[in-house]
Amino acid sequence: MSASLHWRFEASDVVARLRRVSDELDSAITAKGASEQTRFAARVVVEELVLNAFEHGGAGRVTLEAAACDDPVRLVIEDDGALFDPTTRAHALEAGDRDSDSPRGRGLTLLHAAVRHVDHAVLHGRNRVTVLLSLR
Amino acid sequence: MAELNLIEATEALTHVAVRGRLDAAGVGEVELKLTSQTVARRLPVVIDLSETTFIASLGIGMLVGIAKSMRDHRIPLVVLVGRTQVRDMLELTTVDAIIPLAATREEALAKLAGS
Repeated sequence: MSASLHWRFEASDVVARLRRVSDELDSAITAKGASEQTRFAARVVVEELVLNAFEHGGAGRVTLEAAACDDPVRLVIEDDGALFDPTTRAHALEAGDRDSDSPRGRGLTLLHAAVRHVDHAVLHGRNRVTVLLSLR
Repeated sequence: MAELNLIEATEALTHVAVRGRLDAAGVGEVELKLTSQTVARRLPVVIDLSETTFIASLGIGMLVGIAKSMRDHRIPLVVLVGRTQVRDMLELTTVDAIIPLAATREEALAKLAGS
């Protein structure tokens, strides 16, 4: 990636746009030599954080930025939904939830398994989640 | 994109394969048809994810929902999936504790027969 990549999601088109954005990000990190595991993890991160913001946080708009660093890849997801810190592992799936149709606990479980570094901050009333992904 | 491929549909068994990505869009593409091929047929089912290249929480939730419906009708279901990242996702979320996983069709059929 030679420059930061930016995408914006609106609630009205998130599902269709999510796939296109995920593909664009995949192309960018593949060009940098990302492993299959990293490519899969990137898709998990984008899907879980973007959808979570809309479906559980009630966000109206979510932005995704992929920073232009070689390794690790830095993904920053900002949303205007309800404040929610995904780094709190208490939100992740508890054993008793495994029978639930609700994806929220599973999403956070997958997120924490996919990446080593997740950081949350509140910036001007918006959630800002930063994720680092090693290319290999 | 995701698509379904009906491998076998007899009076004894349904074997349906999901090909492609079970991301949010993929779930939307296949959920209704997958439910009709599994829950609605009321027969033992193999859901084949051996050609599924991606799954996340929505896709897993879809599988759990189908499994719960099958369980309510006391009809066995097995997910066929090899040693892939898709299987890793299922095991990470402990879905394998409620939906039997099999690495081969033979193993899947054996698990259905034994359930």
